[in-house]
Amino acid sequence: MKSFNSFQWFCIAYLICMYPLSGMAQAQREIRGKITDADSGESLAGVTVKAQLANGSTSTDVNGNYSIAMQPGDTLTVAFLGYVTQTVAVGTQSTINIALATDVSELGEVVVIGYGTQRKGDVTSAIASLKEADFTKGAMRDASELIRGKVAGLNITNGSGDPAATPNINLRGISSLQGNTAPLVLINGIPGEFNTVAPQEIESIDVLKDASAAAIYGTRGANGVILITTKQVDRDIPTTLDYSTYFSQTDFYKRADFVDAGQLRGLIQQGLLPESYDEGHTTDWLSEITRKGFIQNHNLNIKGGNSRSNYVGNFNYLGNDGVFVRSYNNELRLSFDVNHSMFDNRLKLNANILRGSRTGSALGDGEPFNQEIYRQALIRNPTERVIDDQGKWYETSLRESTNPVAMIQETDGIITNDWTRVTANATVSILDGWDAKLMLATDRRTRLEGYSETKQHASNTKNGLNGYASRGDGKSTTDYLEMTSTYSKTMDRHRLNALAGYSYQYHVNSGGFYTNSDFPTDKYSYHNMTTGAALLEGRATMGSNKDDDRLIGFFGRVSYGFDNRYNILASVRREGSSKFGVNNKWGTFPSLSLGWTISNEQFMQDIGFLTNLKLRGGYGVTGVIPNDSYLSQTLLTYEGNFYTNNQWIQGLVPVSNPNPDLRWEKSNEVNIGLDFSLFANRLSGSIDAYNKLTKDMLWDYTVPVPPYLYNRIKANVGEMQNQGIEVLLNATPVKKANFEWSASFTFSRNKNQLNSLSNDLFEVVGDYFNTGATAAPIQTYTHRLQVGKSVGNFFGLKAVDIDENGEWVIETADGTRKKISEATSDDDKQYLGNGIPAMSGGLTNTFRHKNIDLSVVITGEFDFQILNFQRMFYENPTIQYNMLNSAFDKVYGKATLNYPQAYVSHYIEDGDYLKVQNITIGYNLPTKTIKFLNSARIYAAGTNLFVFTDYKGLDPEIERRNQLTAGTDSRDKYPTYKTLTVGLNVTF
Amino acid sequence: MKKMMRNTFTLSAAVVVSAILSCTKLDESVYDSIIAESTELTSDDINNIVAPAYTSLRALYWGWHSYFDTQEESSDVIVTPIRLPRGGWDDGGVYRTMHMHTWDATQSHTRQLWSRCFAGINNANRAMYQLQQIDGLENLEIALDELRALRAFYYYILLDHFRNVPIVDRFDVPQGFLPEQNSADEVFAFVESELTEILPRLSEEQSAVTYGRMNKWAAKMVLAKLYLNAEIYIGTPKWENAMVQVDDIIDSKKFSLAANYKDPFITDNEGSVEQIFSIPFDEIYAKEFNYHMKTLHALSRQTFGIQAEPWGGSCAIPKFIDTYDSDDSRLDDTWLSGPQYSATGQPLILGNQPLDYTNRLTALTGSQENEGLRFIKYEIKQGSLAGLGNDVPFFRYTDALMIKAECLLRLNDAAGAASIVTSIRQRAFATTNPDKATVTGNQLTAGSRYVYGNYANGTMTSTEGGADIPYGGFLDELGWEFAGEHHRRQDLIRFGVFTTKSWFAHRPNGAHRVYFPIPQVQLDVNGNLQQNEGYN
Repeated sequence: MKSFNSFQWFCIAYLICMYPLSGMAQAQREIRGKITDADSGESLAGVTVKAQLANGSTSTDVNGNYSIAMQPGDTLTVAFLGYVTQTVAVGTQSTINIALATDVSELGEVVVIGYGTQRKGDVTSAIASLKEADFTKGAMRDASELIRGKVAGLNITNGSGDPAATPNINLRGISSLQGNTAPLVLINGIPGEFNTVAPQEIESIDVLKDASAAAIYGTRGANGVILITTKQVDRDIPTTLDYSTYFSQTDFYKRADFVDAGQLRGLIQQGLLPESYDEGHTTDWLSEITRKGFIQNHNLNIKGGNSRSNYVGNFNYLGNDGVFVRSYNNELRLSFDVNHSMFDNRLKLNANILRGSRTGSALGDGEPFNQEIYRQALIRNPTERVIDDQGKWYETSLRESTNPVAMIQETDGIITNDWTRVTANATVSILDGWDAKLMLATDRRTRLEGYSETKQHASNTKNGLNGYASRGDGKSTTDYLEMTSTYSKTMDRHRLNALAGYSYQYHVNSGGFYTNSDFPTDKYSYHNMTTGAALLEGRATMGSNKDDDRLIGFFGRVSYGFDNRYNILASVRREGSSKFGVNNKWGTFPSLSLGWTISNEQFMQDIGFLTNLKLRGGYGVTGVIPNDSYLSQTLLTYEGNFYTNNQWIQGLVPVSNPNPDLRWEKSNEVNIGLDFSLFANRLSGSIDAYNKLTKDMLWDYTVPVPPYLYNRIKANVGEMQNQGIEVLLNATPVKKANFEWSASFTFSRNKNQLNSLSNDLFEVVGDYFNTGATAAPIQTYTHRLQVGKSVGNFFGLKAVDIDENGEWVIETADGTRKKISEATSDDDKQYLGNGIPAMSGGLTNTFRHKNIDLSVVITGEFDFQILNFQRMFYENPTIQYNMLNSAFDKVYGKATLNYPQAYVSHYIEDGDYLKVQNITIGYNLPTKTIKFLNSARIYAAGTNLFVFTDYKGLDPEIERRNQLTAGTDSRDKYPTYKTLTVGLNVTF
Repeated sequence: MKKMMRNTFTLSAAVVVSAILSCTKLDESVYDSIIAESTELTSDDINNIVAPAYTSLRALYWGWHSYFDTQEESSDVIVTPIRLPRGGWDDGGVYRTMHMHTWDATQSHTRQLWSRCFAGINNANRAMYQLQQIDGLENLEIALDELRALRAFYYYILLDHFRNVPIVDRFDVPQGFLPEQNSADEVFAFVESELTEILPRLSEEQSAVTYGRMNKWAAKMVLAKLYLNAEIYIGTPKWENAMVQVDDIIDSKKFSLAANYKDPFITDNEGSVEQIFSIPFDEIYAKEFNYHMKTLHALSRQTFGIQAEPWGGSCAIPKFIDTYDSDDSRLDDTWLSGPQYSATGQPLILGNQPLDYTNRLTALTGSQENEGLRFIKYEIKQGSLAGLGNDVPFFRYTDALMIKAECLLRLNDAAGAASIVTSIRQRAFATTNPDKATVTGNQLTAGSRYVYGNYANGTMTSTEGGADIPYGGFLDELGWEFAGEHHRRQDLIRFGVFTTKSWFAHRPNGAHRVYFPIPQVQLDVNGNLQQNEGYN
């Protein structure tokens, strides 16, 4: 089934048409009334009012008024989010006004769980739920920044200042060897990314942290699930227009301290560098290719309608001009959501369309930024000129040295991504409390990239390509079909919810890429690819690819609560993927969790300060799916040329080993948690402890050839364990009419261990593998993953001294000391630290005084090391490239280094840091006197302002793309930036 | 109403159930690859099937950390020192361990060599299997014989490097099969018996059809090399056997000495009269030949108009260069030295001085970037790309002649040997000093001119000399003729020098260094393998 076939369309039409038949009138009369807030007396719009006997339901209008048909002896149930539900027996009166009390316990609050919602009081697993009010406000790059530091165990880091970069997200340690440890992000139930929707559109973000919660997502849930829900209208509201905007100036948080022209001349005078190094000019290469960055964001949101028909529309534009000249990223997003309910609310229809477009620089071939440009700016001689006497880019004969200004100016490129997501939902209320829902969605993404280098680029001036261009495209389509049915019933003290569902996902992906060079002119850029002569000479390249996969799941869940004291939830998902071997296509992912609200027990009623105390325990199984399709089959391809009889013939070769036994990587997780709330919610929080055991890890295992076709096979190998604890504390130390101080604190600690790297078929005899790379000219590995140890361990030579000749003295694991030139064996190396923070935390303080508010977000990561590549490469006076100012410092206070660049422990530093991520100060303008304005707020914000750390590099918040090589701080990554922002929100 | 509801429910439940049943199929479509199980091969595919067995040769020879390095970097001819002040090409010290003979089982070279040889063997086995599956394939036996000869060639290289390797002679091995290790004697016997059996059936043709493929002459060269080194491999000399094989090659009259020493190494060397077995390379189709990039300094790009910037690493060991007779034209034909100029004659300037390749090295752990002569035996044509198109003449006629000469020498016919060597030398001295071409049997039998011993900063720090090396004169002749032609390691071992003498920074490091350790990664995945003696 490539997309929905006619049969399925029929089935959908059928569901939509046939259900909503009901509601025959009996002897009824109408009751009217007004619903208000018990505290403030303000009228409440959108409150659900139900007549039990008459089996009718309505909601209040803008002024809080309702009218509903009743039968004699009927009862009214009035429910509204955040308020205590009231049930009133109807007598003879024709008007019933009800004042609803706020639900101080917050337990009535709704938490989004997989395929539905749950009362917070009924939650039995580790779920963090954040509403709009909890979000960090200010200039938010994407949705992840809204909740950064606010979910214990969810580590969000932005290690790059590239406008096109996305954050690195990790939940509860590393449970896979696949490198990618990002949680599943669902936007209104459909997979996406943190930047799929604009932060301003988001109503709530819920994080399913443990397996008992995530198991309902089966194969994709092992790294946790993040549920993003966008804003919806569910009651009568007047047409409301929100406009928000901000403008930010950005600059690198810190600049690397390389030798400048004056300092270089000083070094020559001291005799430390040869005079020939002074080329007689003064150039600040980094300044030549950087500027102050600028970000602007405009968001327009319009919503309106009533409880029956309503809509939300959103328009968002983000323009980000990076700190490196010519680097930029512009994003445009449009979304429209419309709801309609028919047949007395028996049928609810929803349609949602989301369009997004991202256009950014391509300063590298197929990539937003070419790190080589930055590297060249750092290591280029500061006494060289930018342009020579002939007006050309000045180049020298130095190996691997090119003019960075030429590199950035002599390229032309663009990367565009477009996405369209269309979703249709139909929900039918079959019986009271029994709903059936059908969701159909399609997500289509296209990518187009182009890149070119002129004849003035080093690709020609140094490598003779005579103009180069490339072009690439990609298209990905995912179709979703989801059918769910839910049943909920509340009887006295019993509360039962059940869910059954089916989901189908088909994904097809294709792309192409081609290059050419030797162009007659630079004018074509990448727009006239055929004119490059390299095509005719056989030096152009071309490629295309296409693959598909299918994922099908059946799932069910039952939750039951008794007397607000005991809760149980059980779920199971049976999931199949086409990616797996014929023997193991299907997997089963069960979960069970229990909750005991101790504070609701009789014996706890006397403890007045205790508002809520709940003990939770859960167990669940989640899975990880391999990235590639077709792993279970023997794939052949034409590759490699064979010369025979004056002809080159392509060989037919295997490209992978089939593994028909390939199966799910499975994580078993136990989670125990305690929720508490004291002093009327002034202090609340949770503590969670977990033990997660991942088995059958997917791993590219080295196998002997022969008998295997290919020297690697993807197999299920080994076992990994993560244990940890997470603490969340929310406090409101001061709460007065004119002043409020609230604080939120998160802390998490994780311990990771690789238990095994073997299974019954495959075994790693050496019980370890080496990974990571230092790149030329050092060229060795950086990390070792060994059974019994953690992911992210550095492994290399431990430098302990320097001899009089400036050569490293290293110490082996057994304490022997030797010169580094004699340390050529792996036996001379040892473990040198770990790059994954064992602990991390966040602290948010929010102060409000009258109309002024101030919030400060601090995050930190602790107990980890960073391999400082910049120092490893450039804190070395023997290199002929430009170097760090610290290069001539005496190592260990004894001697100046006089040895080629090497990977030694001297460059591994403690990375612990505390960072002021965000400070926002806002002012809510008094708008009561302005009729057309509902509210207005202005604010100023700063991000990445201060870092407290001993790390000598630019920023200890480093990129974490591959956890297996965690802790490597690349020497030329796009440096992180700080921002200063002013913003405005107005509501009409 | 209730009945209606019930009907509605029943019907919709039926629809939902049937929709679900139609949606449990987890089929996938493969678009950009071929699924082996569902692809039937025909006689049209024969070249595509055979191809991978041969293409493995290219990676084996010029691939990163492979055959050229094991034969040359471990020897007294070529070294890759750390370059000061720019670091140069060091690859984490793997070339230094090659030079110092301190490699262990994790050394990249041993790993690469093993896996490339076995890739070739597996590809040959698979090709044989696939060909046998094609119904009624004409000339099946001819194709199978050729692949067996090729497989024997891979085993000869494995024997030369590792001695004790598993013999796997079929593709359709049972489930769970893990190769068993064989002894050097068994591997030797396997190569010998395979080649002996199929030799009579192999093609004698020397033409475009057999170029780059295993014909009778290529197979005879493999056998000759096997016998030449038999004493090293199995402890029993087989000089007569070696001579029989090369005599057949010489007597076939299909080959002759090229007019110029450089001829077999020019860009278009396919038609060389010397070539017996070549590995074809091409700038477009087969780009693995990038040695010019590894040896030349970045500035030399301007000399040859290379469309890439060379990396500057490997060079000649000065004491080897010193053994050359100054009139031997092979010195300049093989090594680039002296001040360098661009293609248009402009001096190349390094820093503020002319780039001058000097026959001097400072130290293994730090030599200047201009130090050491560069290997340019293969023509680097103007405007080359990063991969050269010159084919590698893996076995050439001179090699056959020199095998014959060595066998004569070893069998006490020094005069006969000298006559062959003289005929080869005449080419090298033709334009300089033809009288010097003549050598005597005594000269070949006497010691080597190579001044062995450690060397640093341009001078000897200890002197061992080469006068005590039996047949050292002949070893020198091999060195001059075959410098940079994957000869030196094997020759040094055969002449007893490899593990006994010092050169540059190298000192002897154990007799077991004549073979390499079984790669650790192979021991890790195949419990049947035992590490070679001396490497435990």
